[in-house]
Formats: sequence, structure tokens, C-alpha cells
Amino acid sequence: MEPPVLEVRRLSKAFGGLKVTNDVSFSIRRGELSAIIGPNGAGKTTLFNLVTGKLAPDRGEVLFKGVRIDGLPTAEIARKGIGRAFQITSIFKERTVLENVLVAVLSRKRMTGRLFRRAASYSGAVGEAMEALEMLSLSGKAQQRAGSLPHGDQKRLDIAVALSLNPEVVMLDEPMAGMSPEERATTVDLLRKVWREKSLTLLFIEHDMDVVFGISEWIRVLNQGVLIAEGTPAEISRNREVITAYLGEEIVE
Amino acid sequence: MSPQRPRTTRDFGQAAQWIAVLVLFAAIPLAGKKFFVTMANEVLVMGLFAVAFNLLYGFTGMLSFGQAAYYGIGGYTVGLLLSKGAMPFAVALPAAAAAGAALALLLGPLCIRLTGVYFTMLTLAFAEMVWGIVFKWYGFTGGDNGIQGIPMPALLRSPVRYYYFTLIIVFTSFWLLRRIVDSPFGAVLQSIRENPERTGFLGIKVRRYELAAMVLSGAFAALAGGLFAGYQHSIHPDMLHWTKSGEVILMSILGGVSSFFGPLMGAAVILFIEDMIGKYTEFWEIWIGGIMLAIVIFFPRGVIGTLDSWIARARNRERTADGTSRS
Repeated sequence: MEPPVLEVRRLSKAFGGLKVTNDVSFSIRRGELSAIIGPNGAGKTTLFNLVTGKLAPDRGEVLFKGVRIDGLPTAEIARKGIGRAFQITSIFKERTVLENVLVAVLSRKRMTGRLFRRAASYSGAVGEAMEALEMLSLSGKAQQRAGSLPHGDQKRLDIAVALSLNPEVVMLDEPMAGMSPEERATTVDLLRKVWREKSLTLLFIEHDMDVVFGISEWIRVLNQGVLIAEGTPAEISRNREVITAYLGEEIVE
Repeated sequence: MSPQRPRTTRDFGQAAQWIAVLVLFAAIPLAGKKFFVTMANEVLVMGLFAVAFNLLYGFTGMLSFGQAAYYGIGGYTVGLLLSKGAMPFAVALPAAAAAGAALALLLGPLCIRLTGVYFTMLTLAFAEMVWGIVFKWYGFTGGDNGIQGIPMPALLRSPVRYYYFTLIIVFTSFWLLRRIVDSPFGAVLQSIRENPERTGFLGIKVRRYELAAMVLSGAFAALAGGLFAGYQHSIHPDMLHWTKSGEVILMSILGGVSSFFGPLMGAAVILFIEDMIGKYTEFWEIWIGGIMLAIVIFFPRGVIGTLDSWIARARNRERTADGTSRS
């Protein structure tokens, strides 16, 4: 049987005395579109950092397609096929929108060691970068300075950069934070489209419950570093523990 | 705008800039004053040193305070190979660049373990060590006397000929450096400047590229040092002194680290002020300080950087006035 595309086994991480990730285990099947929710400080971003190599776990394992990746450097994990976008938008602000994605495409194609020809003259790579921008409706702004884009566009550019690596797993940390309701709606549609077209495994952290319950196939709930529940949106919305820890009573009809 | 960008007016603008600068420098000996040639030679050499430094600082975001070590090692390679090794200059000058690269390969891995101001302090510390060795090792480097009377090939003994030789080497280096900045590798360096962590998440081993930037910057700095030795016919430990590292930082910031030619402009301004004002007052440093202040206030991104952003803003305005958006 095919191993899960991403698996976390008894993962733990503490900062000082605070257990930010406490014995968390779960596995993600290929092609899943899932959300991680939980109150602030539940350890959602830390979990992302442990999976993508920004942090090394104290205990436990992270497996990508059955192979351990915990403790590897971020660059190596990214190369294996895990792409990531950030809660605090993390783009190259002084570079153009196109240059932001182009460097990711060049990295994937292992062309970043080339010293002599102009990056802009690699038409294959530029074409792929433009496609990635197209997918997130940013191609019209390709030549603008990334830092000059409005916030919502910057968030989408961050996602476009992650997608340009052609990852198998994409992890998005609050992709819609700070967006207007209209921007959220378009971004949700774009994400769903990209997920389907590229048959991605998509994992995201989000606080907007309409988005979470609207598009996720599966939801995992963290609270104080512990995975307290996982299930379909319907199951999660009925779970007593989740309701008291996070959702509150009002969401239950 | 099509993704496969054809040659645009901007490219022609850039080419025109290059030709203008090249023609300007090429015309200087025609004025017939020895002083101008000496001055322009120094501007070219320090300009190359500064542009090479800026590959690290302006383009990769690594503030090295120890680039004089590479400049110096280039000078000493040429000086020692010519005077003690009796090697031809045609071998000594490439050897200088190679020595700079080798020194960066040695010191770079030790410096890039740390980032930010700690990186800067490490580069300073190692450069001081190199300076100390050169300063004390009388038997080999001549210690604080340096080495005088470096024998130069007959072809390059005339100052004007040497000047044109320098011009060719320096502009070829500029062209190579420009290609590097615009290449995929250069795109990675600029990504590291903007956000090293994110660059790592793109599958790029950031340290390796930082080291490569140090090696390239060190090689061109050493080449500049080698050119200096050939034109002075002497070398001195001052070439490696920390003030030299500071000077090149000052030049780059003054000219503008966000533009390719900014550091060359900065080198020209500072050397000119030193010389001109130095003739009238021994307090020329006060003038440099005053001019630096004025530039920081009126040209916050350096002379060229600020001019560039004015031009960009004017172009934007034009475009909006036309009603044609670039999409």
C-alpha cells in the first residue's frame, strides 16, 4: 500500500517549559485538502515549522512518502516536494513580481548555479513563472515591484512562489489573513482550482471558519500543542471538546 | 508585456549608459594632464574594488568590513610574483584574482556561520589577522616597509598605456559582474538579500551561495589590488588596513548600493574630494564628513540610487498620463 504522503509520529517540541507540540500524530493521504485549526498559541505554526525543517523536533518523526525528513535542512525538505507560504507574507519585496516566482522556478530546474546568461532570457523558466502568476491572477502585475502590491496580492504572490516549486504538498499558513471578504472568496476559488488542476496535497492553517468548513475535506484541531480531534467538517462541528476549546457554542446549530 | 522580453528601450538606455561612461574614461588622457590620468586610474581601480564589494553588500545583503584583505592579497600577489618570483605580469595578475578567490574560500566558511552585524565583525577580525601577518612578516612581505620598485613589463611602464590597460581590465570586469548580477545566480543573491529564510524554503542552500558571492567579490577585489600594485610599482600593508575596508563601504553607500555603477560614482566623488580639498586644507576629512551628511540627507539612496528612483518616478507619471498601463 502507498504510504501516506505526509506523516507525523508522536511529534513533540518544547520552548523552555512550554510544550508547543505535544505528542502529535497524524497522517495525510495524497490529494487531501485539509485545514488545521485551533486557538492562538495552539502550536499550528510550530507544527508547520517542524514539518518544513525550520525547527527540529525534540522527539518524534516526520515522514514524507514513508521517508524520514525531520532534522533535515529547509532547503532539502523543499527540494523533496514540500512547498510553504507564510503567515507573515514572505516575499522578495524589492524584486518584481515575476522575479519572485522566477527564482523559485529556476531553483526547481536546478539552474541557479548559472552565472552568465540573463535570468530573463531563460524563456522556458520565464514561461512557467508566468503560468504560476496566471494561476493566481497576478500575471498582469508581473513587472511591478512586489512590495508595491496591495496586501491581498502579496499573500497570493507568496502562494504563487510556493506553487512554482511544483511541490507535492503545499502548506499555507493563514493564506487569507488580512484579506477583504471579496479577496477571500476569489482566493478560495483559486486555491480550490489549483488544488484540483495540479492534484496537490494542500494543508492550510486558517481562522476564518467559513473558509475552513467550506473547502476542507478533513479538519485537524490543535489545542495547547495537542491534537484534540480530527475528522470531516461535519464531525468536527459536532465534537464537544472542539466546541468548548475553540469553536464556541454559537457555531452549533 | 510578453514574458519573453524583447530588447527594450530600457536595454538601449543601459547600453548608452555604459558607452557614455566608457567614452568618458577613454577620453581622459586626451586632456594631456598627467594628474588626470593618475586620478582616473585610481578611480577605476577603487571603482572596481567598490563594485566588487557591492556584489556582496548591495546585491547579497552581506556587509563585509574586511574586503581590504582581498584587495591587499591581490596587490601582494602581483608585487611578490614580479619582484621575488620574476613571473611575467600576464601571469601575476590572474594569479592575484585566484589568490583573492582562494582567501575567500578559506575565510568565507568561517564568516558566513554568523549573519548580520556578527558576520560583519568576523570579516573585520579575519581581515585584521591578515593585515597583522603582512605587517609583521618582514622576511616575506617586507613588513611595514612594503615592497618598492616592482618591475613592470616595458609595454606597461608608461602611465597612459597602463591606464588604458586598466580601463580594459576594469570594464571587462564590470561587464562580467553585470552578467553575474542579472543571471539566475544573481537572482538568488538578490533573493538572499531580501529574505534569506524564504530563499532556503525555495530549496536553495543559502550558505553555499553566500560563499560563492564572497569568492567572486574577493577575486575581483584582488584583481583591483593587483592593478593598483602595477600602477604604483609598490605595495604597502596600508592596502589591507581596516580603513581601506571602510573606505570602500563609504564609497558604495555614497554612490548608491542599489545601483550597479553607484559604487564607481562614489569612488570618483571621494577620491576627487580627497585630492581637491586636500590641496587647500589638511582638514579634508571634515569636508568629506559634511558632504556625506548632505548626501545622506538629500540622496538617501546614494547619488545614483536616488537619481534612478527619480527617473523611475518620472517614467511612471508619463505612463499614467498616457493612460497606457504596463500589463
